[in-house]
Amino acid sequence: MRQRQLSWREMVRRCDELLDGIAVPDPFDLDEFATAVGGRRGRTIRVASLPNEDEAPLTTMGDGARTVCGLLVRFATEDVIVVEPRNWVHRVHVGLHEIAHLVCEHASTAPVKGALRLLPDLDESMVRAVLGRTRYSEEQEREAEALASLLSARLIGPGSGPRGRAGEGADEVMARLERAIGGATEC
Amino acid sequence: MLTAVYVLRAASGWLLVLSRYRLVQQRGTARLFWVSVLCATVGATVQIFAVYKSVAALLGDSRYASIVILSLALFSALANRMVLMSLMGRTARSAYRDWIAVAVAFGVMVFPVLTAPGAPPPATCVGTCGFMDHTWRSWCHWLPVLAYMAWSFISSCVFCYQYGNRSGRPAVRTGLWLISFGAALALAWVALRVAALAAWHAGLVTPQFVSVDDWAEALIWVASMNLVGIGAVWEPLGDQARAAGEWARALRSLWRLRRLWRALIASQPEVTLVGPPWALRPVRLGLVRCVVEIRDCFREVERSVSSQVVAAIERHIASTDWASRPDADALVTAAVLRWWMSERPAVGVGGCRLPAGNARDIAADATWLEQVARFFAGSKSELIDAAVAAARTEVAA
Repeated sequence: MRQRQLSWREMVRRCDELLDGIAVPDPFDLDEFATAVGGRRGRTIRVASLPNEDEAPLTTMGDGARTVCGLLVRFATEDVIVVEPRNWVHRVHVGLHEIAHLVCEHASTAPVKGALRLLPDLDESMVRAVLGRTRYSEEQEREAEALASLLSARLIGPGSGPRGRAGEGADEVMARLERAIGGATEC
Repeated sequence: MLTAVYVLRAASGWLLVLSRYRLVQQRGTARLFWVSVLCATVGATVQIFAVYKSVAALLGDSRYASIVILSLALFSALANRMVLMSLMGRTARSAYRDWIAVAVAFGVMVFPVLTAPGAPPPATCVGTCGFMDHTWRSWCHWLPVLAYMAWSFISSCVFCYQYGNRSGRPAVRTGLWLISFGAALALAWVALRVAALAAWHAGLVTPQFVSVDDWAEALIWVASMNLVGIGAVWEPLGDQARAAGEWARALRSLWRLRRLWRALIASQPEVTLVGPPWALRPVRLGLVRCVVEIRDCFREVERSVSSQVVAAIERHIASTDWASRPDADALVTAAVLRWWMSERPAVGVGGCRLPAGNARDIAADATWLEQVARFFAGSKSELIDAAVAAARTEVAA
């Protein structure tokens, strides 16, 4: 069934909802963030990298096969995100793209060849869905990429650095005071 | 001249009201604070001679104008106390007691005017000296108001100083200290009013005394109001300044990366999500797209360019004095991109690894890519051309 396309405003709202109540690691760490998101969703989210540089690139199967730089494999009990890029910023963005697929409850796309050889400890028969970050011609890829861009801008974009210890270690009055006269952080 | 000081006082108050309103209008506690500053500012505006005379003429008695000013001061002090109560999580009962205190102060303040309507102000009273005479009525008029205001200022001063010392955020700490110092100056104003009242009662008042008193109280209020206002907006203002700086840096990065982005996207248009990133708003989202799309293109370049090419380029650059420079990686990347643009190898025949950079946020990665863009666009063109030629020769061989 084709899902309704999210508007930009809805994506900003979804970005707010996703981050609301989640302790964003400072400095940002994709693995910790994925664990926090998984904790709130009640399912484990694990981030895995390509085991070594000589691995063949992940590619989709079928006609017009394309490489993917990120992959989400949904199992019955957990979700596994595989990220390929070595550049830290790109790696985080690709990981956030796969998390966006989870948040948007996207359906499985083309099977990805070689995905499961990266996860030898998991049972192939338990795979429920596989999503790879390819091109944005598909609506759900565009949606996940847009949400990932919003998350990247918020979490690792300009101005996302530490703002001091807001309320940390202080009592309730201090926290209220800092909220009252402290500045706001926008998406 | 004194009028100018009064106007300055009112103007700075209005500026603070407007800035505070624009910066933090969504917050409940800040709104109470805004009410406090607004009441004080309106009171300060009424004290400007021309405005005071108009209000006095409108009300029919200069003492009524004085009551308007002091009523606003009372409400300002009340709002200030409610800010503190709200921050300290006190119950509604505490606020109720303050309302009773303000109502009593107001009643006592208007009582002497109601019991002696139409009494002319003393001859020595000039400007906006308000209700002053040598009788018990002047004490009845002033003391409850000044006492309540003093209580409000003492609360603010102690509270802000204590919590300023405990805050872990430097901007909040500085803001709280400024508010505390402003409240201490306001206490000095209260002390000056009590001294003036005592002098009136003792009959020691001369025109010079009145003049000095007017100047001192106006200047103290200007300083106090500005300190409190600036302290309250210190962190939001800092955030605005920081946001403006980040916006300018992001815009500059987008400008510097535009040629590299265009060159790469021309051969891989499918990696774009919404067109040119510099058209996206907010600007930092555009910068994210720009960096991610360039990185996506780099990945395709890695799949098209063999390790042999990169090794040849690295060897050539290593033979120059660029090898030890921190931007050598960016130079290698730019040379590989130039080779890729000229040779257009098929996708999938490569498998090289471009330098990844070690940035830990978008802005830092954009800065690294800016170096690549600078070399790619022509800076050190001879060196890059030589490296590309060396790679071409090696591959051909």
